[in-house]
Amino acid sequence: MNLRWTFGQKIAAGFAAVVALTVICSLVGVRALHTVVTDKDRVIMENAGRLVTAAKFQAAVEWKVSSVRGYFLTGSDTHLQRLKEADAEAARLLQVLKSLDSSGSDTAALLGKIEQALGDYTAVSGQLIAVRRNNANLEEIARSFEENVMPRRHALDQLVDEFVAHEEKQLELAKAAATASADEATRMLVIIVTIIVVVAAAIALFLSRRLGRDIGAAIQHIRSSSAELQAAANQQVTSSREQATSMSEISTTVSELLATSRQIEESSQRVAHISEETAGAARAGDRTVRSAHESITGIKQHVDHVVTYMLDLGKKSQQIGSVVDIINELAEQTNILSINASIEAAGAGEGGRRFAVVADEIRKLAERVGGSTREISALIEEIRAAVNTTVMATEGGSKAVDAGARQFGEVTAAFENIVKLVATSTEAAREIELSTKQQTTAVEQVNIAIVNAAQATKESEASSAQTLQTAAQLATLSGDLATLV
Amino acid sequence: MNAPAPLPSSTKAREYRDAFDATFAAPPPPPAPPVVALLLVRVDGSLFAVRRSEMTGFVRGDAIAPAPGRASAFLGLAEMRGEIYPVWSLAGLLGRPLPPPGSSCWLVLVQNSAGAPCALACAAVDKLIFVPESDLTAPARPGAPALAPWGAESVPVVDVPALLADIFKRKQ
Repeated sequence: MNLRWTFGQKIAAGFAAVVALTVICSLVGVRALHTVVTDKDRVIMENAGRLVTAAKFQAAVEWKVSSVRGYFLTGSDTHLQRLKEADAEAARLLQVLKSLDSSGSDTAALLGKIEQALGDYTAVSGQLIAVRRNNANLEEIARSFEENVMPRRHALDQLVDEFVAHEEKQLELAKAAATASADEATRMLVIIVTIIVVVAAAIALFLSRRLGRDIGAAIQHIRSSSAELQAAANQQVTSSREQATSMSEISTTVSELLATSRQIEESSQRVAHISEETAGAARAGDRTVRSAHESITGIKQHVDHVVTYMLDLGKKSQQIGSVVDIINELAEQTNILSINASIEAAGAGEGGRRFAVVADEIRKLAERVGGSTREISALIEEIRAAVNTTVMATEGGSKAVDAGARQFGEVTAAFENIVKLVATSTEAAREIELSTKQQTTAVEQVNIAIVNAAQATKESEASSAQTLQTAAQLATLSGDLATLV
Repeated sequence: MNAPAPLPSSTKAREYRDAFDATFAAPPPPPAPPVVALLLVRVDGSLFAVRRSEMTGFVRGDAIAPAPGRASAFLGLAEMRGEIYPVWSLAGLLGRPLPPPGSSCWLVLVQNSAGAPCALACAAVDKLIFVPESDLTAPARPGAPALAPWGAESVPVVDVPALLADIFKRKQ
């Protein structure tokens, strides 16, 4: 079972074990002390009590004897009164001794003998007291005292002395037994204390080694952590300084930004003014473009007229070509006719010779007409080609004019858009101006915030320095702790 | 764009008029060496010459009525000047490919020695030329045509009597 106990748990467990052993030791000691005290109390309360009671009984017997003697000598009733008190005290003490008897039959038998001897002495002394009360002879009384009372008194004293000696012996025996019990308890207590010391030493050694090992590892960890903390604190100090420098630069930049924002604000005002002027210029440009668009429309109409005229010219050229074709056909027919005429003239013999000449001239004329009509046809074709080219160029110009008109329309629309956009730009410039004012206010607030941040950075730098100092102290402390461990 | 050709000036018209007037004012030309009038016709893209003296007329062949015949060169009949002319393809008679049916043509009117009319169809008429008779080149061999100079070329002269003899010999 692999339990991972904390330092506190280990120390508490060790301390609990030591406390448990101490409690056990204390219980054993208390038990032994209680036994010793009990034995001693028993010795004191029983044996010593019986011995004291025996001594008191002996004194009461002596008091009784002395009262008897005093009465014999003086005959005073005072002594009789004392005698009664002594008898009562002796009887009470004897009863006490009987009640305290626990030692066995020897003591009871001895007390019985003492009671018997006391009774005998009391009886004999009583008889003699009665004699004395009757004023008998003192010498006889002395003699009777010597003969009857004294032996009984000696027997009683002997028994009392024997009883006292017996009780002293019992007291000694009890004292020896109590001492032996105390010695046994002392030995047991010493053994237990030794065991506890050994166990405590083992626990202390175990805890010392274990805690030393664990705390050593922890100290090593603290050392490395403090070193890392020191490095981090150094880096934090460096970063805080760099951050302070950066915050200073940022503050400078924000100040410049503030100045720039104010310049932008002024520029925005100028832009708004220029935008209004631009809007006016754009409206003027729009009017100009509309005028130009109207001019282009007029040009387009003229170009359309030119195209119409050129198309008419082309049609006329075609008509001329048709006429030339007719002339060409006529010339060809004239040529055929002249050839046939020359054939007829040749068939007419000598009379047709002159006619042949005429026919030949007609043929030549027809050939010239044919050649001329071919030239005219060529010229007409060139005219038609030129007209077509002109028409195409004019149509191209018309298309260009159309495109120009459309482009002017687009330009007009563009100018309208420009006017709208310039109005939008003017509005945007005003919004920019307002925004720039707000931005200036915001930048001022940012500047204040950056100043506060710079102050916080300085405080952070101081805190980092404090952390660095703490890390150094922690490293020193870990070294001291390692030295202690 | 090409530059337009110069228009005929009034000078050119005046030259034409002067030449035309001079024709009537000039005296009769002195006797010239005998010349041969040749009509240049185009057959299958080539020029051939027909003696004007062997022709009786020259017309456009617009109305040729097809008529059956064994000879492929026989195109049909045509009416001109109150007479019926058999129309023969000059190309077919000269051994050239026949033009496609219905194509336009010119008719050279001829007649044989017996006075029987006949029309020879050609694709086009080019010009009437006059060549000195001495410039004609005689046939190099029997059956070959004579050659007439025309510029740098020589144009074969169609032997119309021989063709007519061949035609009428086929008819008989």
